[in-house]
Amino acid sequence: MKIKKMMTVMLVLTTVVFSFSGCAKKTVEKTDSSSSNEKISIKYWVPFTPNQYIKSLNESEMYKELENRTNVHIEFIHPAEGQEQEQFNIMINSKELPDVIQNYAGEYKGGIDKAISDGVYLRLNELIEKYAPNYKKLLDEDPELARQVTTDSGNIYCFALIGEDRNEPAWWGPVIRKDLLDELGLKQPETIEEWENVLRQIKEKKKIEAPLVINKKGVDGYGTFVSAFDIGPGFYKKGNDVKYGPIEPGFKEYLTLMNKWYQEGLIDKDFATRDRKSREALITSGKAAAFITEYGLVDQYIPAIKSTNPKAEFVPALIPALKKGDTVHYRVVNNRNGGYEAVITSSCKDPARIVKWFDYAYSKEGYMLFNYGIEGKSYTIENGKPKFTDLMLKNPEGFDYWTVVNKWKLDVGPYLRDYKAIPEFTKFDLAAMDTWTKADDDYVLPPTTLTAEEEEQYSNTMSDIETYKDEMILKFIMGKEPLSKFDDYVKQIKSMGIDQMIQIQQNALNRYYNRKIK
Amino acid sequence: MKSVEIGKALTVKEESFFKKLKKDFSMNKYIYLMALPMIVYFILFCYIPMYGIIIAFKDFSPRLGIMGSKWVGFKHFYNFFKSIYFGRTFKNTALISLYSLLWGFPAPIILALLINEVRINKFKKAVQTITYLPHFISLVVICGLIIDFTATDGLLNFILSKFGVTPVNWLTKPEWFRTIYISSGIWQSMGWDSIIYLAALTNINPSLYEAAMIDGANRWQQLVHITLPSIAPTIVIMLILNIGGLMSVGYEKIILLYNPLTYTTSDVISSYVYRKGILGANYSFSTAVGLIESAIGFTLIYFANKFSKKISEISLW
Repeated sequence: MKIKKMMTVMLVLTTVVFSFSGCAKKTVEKTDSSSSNEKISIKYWVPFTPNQYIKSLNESEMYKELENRTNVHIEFIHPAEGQEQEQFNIMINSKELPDVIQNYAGEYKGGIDKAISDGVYLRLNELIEKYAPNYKKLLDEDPELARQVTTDSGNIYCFALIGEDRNEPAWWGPVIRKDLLDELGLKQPETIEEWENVLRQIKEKKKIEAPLVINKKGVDGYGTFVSAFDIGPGFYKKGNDVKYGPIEPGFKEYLTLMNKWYQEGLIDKDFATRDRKSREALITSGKAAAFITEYGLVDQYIPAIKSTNPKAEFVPALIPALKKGDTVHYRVVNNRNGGYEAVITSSCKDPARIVKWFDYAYSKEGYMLFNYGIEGKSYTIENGKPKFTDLMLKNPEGFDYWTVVNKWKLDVGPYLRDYKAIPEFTKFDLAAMDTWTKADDDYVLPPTTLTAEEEEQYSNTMSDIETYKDEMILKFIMGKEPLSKFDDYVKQIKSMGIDQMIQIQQNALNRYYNRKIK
Repeated sequence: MKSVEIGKALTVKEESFFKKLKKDFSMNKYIYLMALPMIVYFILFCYIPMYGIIIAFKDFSPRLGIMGSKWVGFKHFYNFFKSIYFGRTFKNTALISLYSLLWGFPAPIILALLINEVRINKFKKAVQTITYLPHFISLVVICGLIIDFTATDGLLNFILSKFGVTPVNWLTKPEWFRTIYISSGIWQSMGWDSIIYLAALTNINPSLYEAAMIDGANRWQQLVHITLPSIAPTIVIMLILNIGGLMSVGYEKIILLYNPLTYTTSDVISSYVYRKGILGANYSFSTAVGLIESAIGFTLIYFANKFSKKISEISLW
């Protein structure tokens, strides 16, 4: 309480200071200045991870170039790392709002619609109609996208990261050590049964301590392994019916399997207490043979494991199915609205100008600027195709691409993104995308929203259900509770009100499908 | 006649209080000046924010502000009490703090007494420095160490396996959670907490020991009959303060160490509120629970103080 108050005071103080410095530059002209091109300055709140090369987005050369082109000066405000949620909450409470909020806007208590009706965020429909032709075109062409940037009551509320490719590949799935498979003369596992055999042989013949690493909760958030049993890891939809995975019969089969694997030592014994660092140590030290991850991380694991075991090699595995030829229906999905949503707040003096400014990121020139940076500096055109310069690829200061990226272009943010606009995908990355995308994603719920009342009821009930569920899942897997108790577990969750929660999700899904988009 | 006299006596007394205060103020004005920042601090950050307590009885919405939010009466209290986890978290909180007090409270006293008996200055200083050190390590790092040490292939199991104990992951055992939590807590804070007792020890008049020595008291007898009674007021005050904090187990260390498997012993009120309140921005709910905690703490401290006043004449007020 005390600390919270102190932080509020400090935050208010800093925002006051900021607003003074902002005032000096701002031209106070409230009447339709959208036609004018006078220099304006806006405050832009967005989380950012600094590194040795770029400390804040205020140092971004890309945004400086954008300022030259649009005459809009952006003053970035970055919350402290790891405290984004709290600082967002405090900022909203402090009534001193920046002009733009990116990433945490959806966390507004009561939802986006409430934020708009409370007068905190702006409804953008009319502004986009008038001032954002490029963005509007994207929405018109892609109803799924339009649905995902519109609330249930028909408010367009944000500018978001939009994938240029409508079917961006999956980036999350299982990975296995190829060198071990080869030495044992095994094929890549595809079904649960094959996985079991592979893990067992690796354990017995290769003396690998923890053949399979699973996450802390015992269930993969994107459903790997769970999805083999024709369910999702949490709420999911079958056809148009919402269901809750952890109480479905398939979940019992999943737990039975995990329990068996755990007893046999095929799963990391300490999974329940491992954080990410310790999990990675297990993988890179060669004590594990298979794990579930995103492909970008594997590129980092490869040099680490090669330093101790030059023969080690990773390959992506298919998301396992129960029987050969079965389709898996759940995996990671790239929503059309790719997140990093930026909203405009009611503090903004000149929304039309900002809307125009955002729209630039979806234009042709903006697309090149955000994806590749500044021509002649960060990229050149070769054979009609943009190619990053050595500044990006072999930085003279010795930094790698991911360290320098945000100074010259934008990695993620509200713009039209070409996911291939990175130096190059490794062989592993390409194989992973290809392999993991073979799974279907029709069980995954689209990004729905709850009403304020639903939200309150939902968070109240679900936090208790999650507590109970998390506890029981681990107990089932580790054998502290026999699986014969599964029915009691389902009964308990039902008595805690899961049916009502499913209904809430169902209503939200129905509303999603009925969103008014032109 | 009599009543007039009483009235007179009262006014005289009141005058003398203000006079005393004035006199004291002019005599010790620099001490008052030194205290000023702390007084301002407490007013600013402890007393003024107290009005925020009213959001425990409201549905707090940031935009409407504290005053503008809707009154909901005891809804949040009711929600807390009727939750199926109320009983468990209450019990866990009470047990963890009770055991912490039982084992953790005497530790710094014993350490202070031991350090006090050491006659070699270099050794004394080294011990003090080493025991203070953990206090300055960030809690996150401490918990990282604990998790590493208690893992299946951790240091603890390595040592225990020499004695034929089969390695287990200690942090997945609900029955061991309290032991790990409390013993690491003692390790971390024992040195630092002993400072106040060491300070009290330096205040003991050496002539008492000289007199005792002449009477032929050995070291143990000196400890029991001079040292302990001399620092008893400090001990009692610290005890009363500690009792006041009995129902408030902070969530930071808990959430760093617990996992769903140990919820049965590790999930305390504050960690439950953290999951439910702070992460979901349910400020009203967390304020309501915080208020309950404070009320319990105040009651405990009040009665502990009263009790102590009665039996030992040492009290906070």
